Amino acid sequence: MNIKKSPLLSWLGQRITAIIIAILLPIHIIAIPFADKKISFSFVSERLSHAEWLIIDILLLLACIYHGLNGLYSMTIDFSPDKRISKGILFFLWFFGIILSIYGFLVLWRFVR
Amino acid sequence: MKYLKDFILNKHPGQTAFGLHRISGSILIFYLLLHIMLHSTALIFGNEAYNNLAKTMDNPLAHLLELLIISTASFHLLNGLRLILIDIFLLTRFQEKLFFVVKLATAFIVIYSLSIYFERLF
Repeated sequence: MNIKKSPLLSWLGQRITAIIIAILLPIHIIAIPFADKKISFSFVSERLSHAEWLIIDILLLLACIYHGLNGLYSMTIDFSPDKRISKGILFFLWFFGIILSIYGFLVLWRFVR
Repeated sequence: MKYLKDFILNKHPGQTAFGLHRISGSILIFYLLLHIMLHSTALIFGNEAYNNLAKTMDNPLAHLLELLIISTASFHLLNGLRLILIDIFLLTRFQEKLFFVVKLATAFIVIYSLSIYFERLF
């Protein structure tokens, strides 16, 4: 068997995060934009002070970042770039994703009372 | 340009779904960045600035963009579920029918969201 593991893992990761998003995003949309309330600091803070909402939002954030950046990577793969360039893109996307995850977590944490 | 030419010449039933999935995915990743940046005003500039921004964003144009993002996300989500179904249950033969279901369900969600957003838009 000469199957390269990393493309398979990224395929699987894309499906797993897709299912997480498919479950959590409707909850997010129904609870916030569909709720007839104006967005304000206290409204967001009130919601995120419940542990379950915080966990949902953190999971959704991480899943979206992985899914989005992995999707961008597979888009670049379609243009069959040079192996070195593609490795560079992958490194940059991981770096960017980790920074964005930390930043996103800090943004969420700001609302927690 | 070569890729665009290939894309147009290759008339495969899944081509529209593929193209739309790519386009909606690109829009959504940029929206995710924008979403995080806008909410980070609370982190960087404080509560007052966040409330002011939330008030500024409470206008018909912003709500229209919100509605468009919800529509894009629901299409991407449903089409993604279609891809997973095809992958797991080997439903390649039914992909066109499934795409029709995706379009129908997306239209339903868009109409439902429009009914909720109606008074915010006008």
